[in-house]
Amino acid sequence: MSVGREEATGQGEQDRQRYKQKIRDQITKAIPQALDQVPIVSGDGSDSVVIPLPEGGLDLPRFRPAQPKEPGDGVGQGPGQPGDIVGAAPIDGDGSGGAGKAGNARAEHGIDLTLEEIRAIMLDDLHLPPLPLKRPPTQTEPTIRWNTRSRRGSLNNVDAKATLKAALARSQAQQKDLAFTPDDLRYQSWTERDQPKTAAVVYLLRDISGSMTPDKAYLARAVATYIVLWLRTVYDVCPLEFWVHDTAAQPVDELAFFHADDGGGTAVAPAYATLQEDMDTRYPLAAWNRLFLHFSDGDVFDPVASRERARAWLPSLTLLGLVLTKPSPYAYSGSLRQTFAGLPSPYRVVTVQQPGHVVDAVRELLRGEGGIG
Amino acid sequence: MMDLVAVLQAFYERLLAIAPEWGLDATDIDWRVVESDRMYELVAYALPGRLAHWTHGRDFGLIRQRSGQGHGRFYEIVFGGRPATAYLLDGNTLAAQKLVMAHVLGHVDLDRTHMLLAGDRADRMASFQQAQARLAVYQEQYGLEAVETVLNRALAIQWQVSEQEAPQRPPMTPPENPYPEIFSRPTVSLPPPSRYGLPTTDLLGFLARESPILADWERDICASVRQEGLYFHRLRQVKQSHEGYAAMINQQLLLDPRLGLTDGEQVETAVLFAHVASPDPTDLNPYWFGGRFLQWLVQERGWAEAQAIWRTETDASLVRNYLTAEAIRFLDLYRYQWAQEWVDGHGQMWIARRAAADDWEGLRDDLANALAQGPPVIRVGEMDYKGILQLIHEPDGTTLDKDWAAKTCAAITGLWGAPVILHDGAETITGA
Repeated sequence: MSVGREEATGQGEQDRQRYKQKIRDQITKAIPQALDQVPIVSGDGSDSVVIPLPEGGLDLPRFRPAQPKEPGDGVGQGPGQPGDIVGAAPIDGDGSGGAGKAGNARAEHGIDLTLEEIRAIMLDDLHLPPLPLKRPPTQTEPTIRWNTRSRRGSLNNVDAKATLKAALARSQAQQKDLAFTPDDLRYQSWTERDQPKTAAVVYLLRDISGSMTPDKAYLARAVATYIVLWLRTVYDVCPLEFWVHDTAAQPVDELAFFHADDGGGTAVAPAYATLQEDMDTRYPLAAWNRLFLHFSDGDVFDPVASRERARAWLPSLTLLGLVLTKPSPYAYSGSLRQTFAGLPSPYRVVTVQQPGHVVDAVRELLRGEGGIG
Repeated sequence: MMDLVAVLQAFYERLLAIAPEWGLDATDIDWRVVESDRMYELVAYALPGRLAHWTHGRDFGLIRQRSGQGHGRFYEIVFGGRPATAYLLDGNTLAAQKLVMAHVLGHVDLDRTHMLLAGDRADRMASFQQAQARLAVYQEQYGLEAVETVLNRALAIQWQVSEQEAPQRPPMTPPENPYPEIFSRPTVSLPPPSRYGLPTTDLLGFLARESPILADWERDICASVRQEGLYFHRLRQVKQSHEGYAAMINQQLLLDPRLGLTDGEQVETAVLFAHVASPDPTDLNPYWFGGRFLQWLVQERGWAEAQAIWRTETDASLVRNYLTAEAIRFLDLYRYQWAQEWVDGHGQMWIARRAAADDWEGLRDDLANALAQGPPVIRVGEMDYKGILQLIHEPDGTTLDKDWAAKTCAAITGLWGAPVILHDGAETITGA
């Protein structure tokens, strides 16, 4: 007999997928709460995230002793004297120590999903129709893009920074000094895709003077995710630009986009001016389809200037979508909806306040854009 | 960099050369170096040929998640028999691999020589793999859902199995009477043997054999699940001595200069082992407890007698028969008791304190009982004319969790086809 190597069978992954199917309902319920800190719209689809399951997953029933009311005496080992303290435990309300409901696996239990899977579940949860895959005929050629990391690869392509990060994270968790193991190695990796002939950029702008509750953020993300997913079936390259504004606009990342909170005043025109300038420099009209989504609660302090600014910008945009997530009936200065009323296409406005609104909102926004709905 | 496989191969050959001096059977070991994903699979499934089921997939995912976060590391997993298969995790240091290989030698040897394990079918691993292959055929033929339904129910009672034979039938003809004139023999009327082999504690085996509603392929799945259950039952009974024996063997083997460990490797293996085998204040660490207990037996009784002991005893019987007051002192064992106490800054808490070391027999009995305690034992009592099955939870000082028991009874009903009634002390539980 001798020494050899053996690969994983894949059985574990296959049975894990089956488990995920079985707890689909629990996952769906857990997702809106769990996604607060996850870049769901912009993140790489193959990145995985651990979703905690408050209901504790799933287990088979079995015969097991009732949880004792108090901890059981026992036998331990090691040097010491009678009377030494060898253990301590908090006193629970019912002394049950978190036995969990029958049929549930354990109190603390999470499942890791890729962003791809999370998006699919989210869209399914909101009963969004499947995306029709209509690609405009394009002349393309395959190219390789070095834009991902992998756990396997050649030593030439070690990604030192990612490797250091992985080693640090593991060493910290193990409370050891920094050391590298082969498991920590991360490699630069590539994806193959067709060289695009068409491309689109999406600018997302949010008014942070209104507050964003987790429910509202979930809906706003659903709209953004769905639109981006659809655009990606049509355009090979679809970068996202996240911006927030109060009286001035500034670029942010996705998490800040859905969380930032300010409460100051709202001026739309300067923000639009900043974005238009940024767009013209980085994504010239000649090469890009330019889409712009404005998430707002509807307040506007500078109605006249805003309207003029929007009208001037419209001809160079593929879409100017106004998504009202919390339209205030008491807008004291002016309502963006009224301000923009009568602007020509491609201006569109939608209101999203509950899950039922998402489909219609997306339909309305993408109407005429190559075949949705 | 030298090829890891070649280095380990050379080390295995050195181990093979010195093993016979320790009375170890180290031949026929298939060593596999695996990446972490394969190791997680093996740990989650606990058998190379385990029947595919979502509970194992769930555990695989959880183990991978936790290991990715740096909780625990798996060094090896061994499956005994001939050939034995030992898996080593790629990425461990060479010194760790050598320690693990010496450790594995102990496991493989005890697996082949322990009364409880060696009596097992030599080709049991092959039979598990055949069962796994048959399951794939059933999935193809009867559908994933149907197969999963049977598996869900059978796995719920995987631990309610035993190797107990059906009770012997009484002799059919009375023995010859040499003094018929003096002692007229009264006609013997023994109760007729139960057709179903009742009572039995082999619940899953009974259902697989006698259930009126299962198709042959469903019986086969139940029987395969039962075989897995029996295998884990046997392993559970000798966990302390198995790990302890392997620990003792790796400690002794690695000191042999012919293995050629460098000074650095000696230190590294010693540190690593001391880390793994540190005593646990409220539980038994098998490497520490089992290893030291066997060492003490060797010291007191000599290798030959100690060997006869560890090859026949289970953990519980080892403690009950051989744990003396002196051994308890040698092993630093103590009893502890929980009580509620006030802790400054934390409030009222449960605190465990070492008890006085006066009652060594009490400690021995407590420990033996704790080691003997397995999953709840369910006896199939009788069945009435309607086919209702009476189940009894064998008294073991615990009561069952009612919610879980009711759901488990529902699973049993699914296999049996008629209601079941479970008696747990004074309580009566039926399927939910």
